[in-house]
Amino acid sequence: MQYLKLLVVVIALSAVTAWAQGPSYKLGKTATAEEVKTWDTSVGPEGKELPAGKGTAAEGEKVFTARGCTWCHGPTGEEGPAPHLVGGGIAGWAFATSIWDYINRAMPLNHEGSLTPNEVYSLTAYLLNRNKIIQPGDVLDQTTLPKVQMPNRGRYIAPPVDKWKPGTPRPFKIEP
Amino acid sequence: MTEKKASRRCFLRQASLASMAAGIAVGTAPALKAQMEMMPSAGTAAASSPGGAAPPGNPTDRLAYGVRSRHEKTLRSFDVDPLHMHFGRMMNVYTPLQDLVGSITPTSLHFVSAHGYVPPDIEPTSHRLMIQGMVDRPLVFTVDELKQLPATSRIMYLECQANRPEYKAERVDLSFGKTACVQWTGVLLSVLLKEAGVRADAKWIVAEGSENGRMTKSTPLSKAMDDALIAYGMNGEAIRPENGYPLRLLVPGFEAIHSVKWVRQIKVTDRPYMGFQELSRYSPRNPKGIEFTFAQGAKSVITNPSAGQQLTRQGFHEIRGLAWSGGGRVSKVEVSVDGGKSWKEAALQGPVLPVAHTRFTLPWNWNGEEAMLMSRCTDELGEVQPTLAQFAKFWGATSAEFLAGTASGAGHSNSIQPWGVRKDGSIYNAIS
Repeated sequence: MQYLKLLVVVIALSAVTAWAQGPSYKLGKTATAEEVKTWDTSVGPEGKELPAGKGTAAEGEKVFTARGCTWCHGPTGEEGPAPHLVGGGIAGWAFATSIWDYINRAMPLNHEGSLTPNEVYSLTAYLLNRNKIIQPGDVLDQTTLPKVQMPNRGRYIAPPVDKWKPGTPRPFKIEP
Repeated sequence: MTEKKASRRCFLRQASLASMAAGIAVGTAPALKAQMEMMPSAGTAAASSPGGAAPPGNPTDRLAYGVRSRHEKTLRSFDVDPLHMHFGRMMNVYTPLQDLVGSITPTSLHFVSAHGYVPPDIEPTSHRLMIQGMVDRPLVFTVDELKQLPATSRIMYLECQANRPEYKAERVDLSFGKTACVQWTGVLLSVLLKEAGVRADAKWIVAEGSENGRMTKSTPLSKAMDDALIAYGMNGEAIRPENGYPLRLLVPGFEAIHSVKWVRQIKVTDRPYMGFQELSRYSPRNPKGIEFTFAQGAKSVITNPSAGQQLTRQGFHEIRGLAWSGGGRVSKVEVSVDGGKSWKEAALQGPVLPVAHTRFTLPWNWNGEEAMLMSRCTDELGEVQPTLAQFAKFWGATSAEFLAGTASGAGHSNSIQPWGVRKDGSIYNAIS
């Protein structure tokens, strides 16, 4: 019985030790892959984090009304009062994944995060089609969305991050 | 395009200090009277006080967490943008630079910019910061754990990339007030990144906030490892909710959009993630293309005297202002009273700290004639504050386009601000 109690204590202690893997300070908890996935919704230009799902412009048009996008952006997204979604604005963005990521994280206003992946793919397809960047029948999903060629993609200059060093003059120095 | 127009259609509400002061006086007088009737001792105190009656309210409450003198009326001013008002949002809150002394901004007067999001009401014991992505060990920290790690304090300025919201504003806070300088305290982000073990091929971090839209901003890993801070303290106490409570990323010298408020995640990546804000509004369009800018250039502005103020007599006046640079320390500030024909070096109030507001002063005898006051900052990297014409040329636009607000898409504006002095002593914005 004594041994059993000791065993319980040893197991409990080793579990705590395994939890704290910080190599220097042993503070902070190691996050599991599942915890990271739940916590993180950000999608980069490669689209690696995009979830399963798909959508087309036609489906997106229905979602646009059904989920109340029209209340702020107008019946077709061009009337406002919220930012107009056709011509300029998102059409000028260099990456289509950014549109998906923004709708997913920040829309609809005050109900952020409530859209399903299919709805976000559909809305993205609807907006890209309205801006004449993809065809009406194009299906957007994990594979096709990152491949959408945005008109401004060629104008985007990758930041010279490898050259950035503390204390070096900035590349935007303006000589009087 | 329309989106930009809408966000620039800002009508600036001039916080009418005089009327507010009157409002406060009228509002408190009956309360004070009632209190004095209830508390006989208050009447005695008032009679013996050379300053008159004691202020209203319970003195213990006033002293437990201090309040300023009721005779001080300085307030932050707000943007009132019809679009954002329509959605119940608040865009920009300006630091009243014209009323500040020294180089530290009071916590309660720090500017606020959050793209309209209402500061989230975060319960600190439930808040978490996750470090993940291209690391060996993804880690989650509580606020309390972060406070147990080695602490660093740093006095530094923050400035919105769009800090020249209104070139022609007739008050300095409305054209320069999206900057402030406080002491931030926290743990260096490099400590957390080393605990997590950053992989050799990582190049960027992507920070994410906790407001409803969970804004993201990408910062080079080299900068994050150099001097970025995960702060929980602001001027010696917890960060205010509107400035990022309970945790804020601080990226010294970079446009303040990098300093993500209410930070909940640092994701280590191999490329920038091109979130909405950084892609649409914070990627300036120069003649070559669409490009991030990071560190802000040398900048200064005379705060006293400045537009809207009045010289009441000839003779001695001390010209005072603030200078700063994202590139490091301010090395020199020159002041001109003749519209840039001649310049004199101003005195810098020490200590002159890197990436911090630096107060400069220059004695001036006003002879009652028209004058044109300007200041020009040089930083320790040798960058000199440009004129508006030079700045406009760099961004492929004209001064007129900037003044009209149609030159959208340029980077952080650090051009020289001229204040005109009329013969009657009134000061006006002389930008052209």
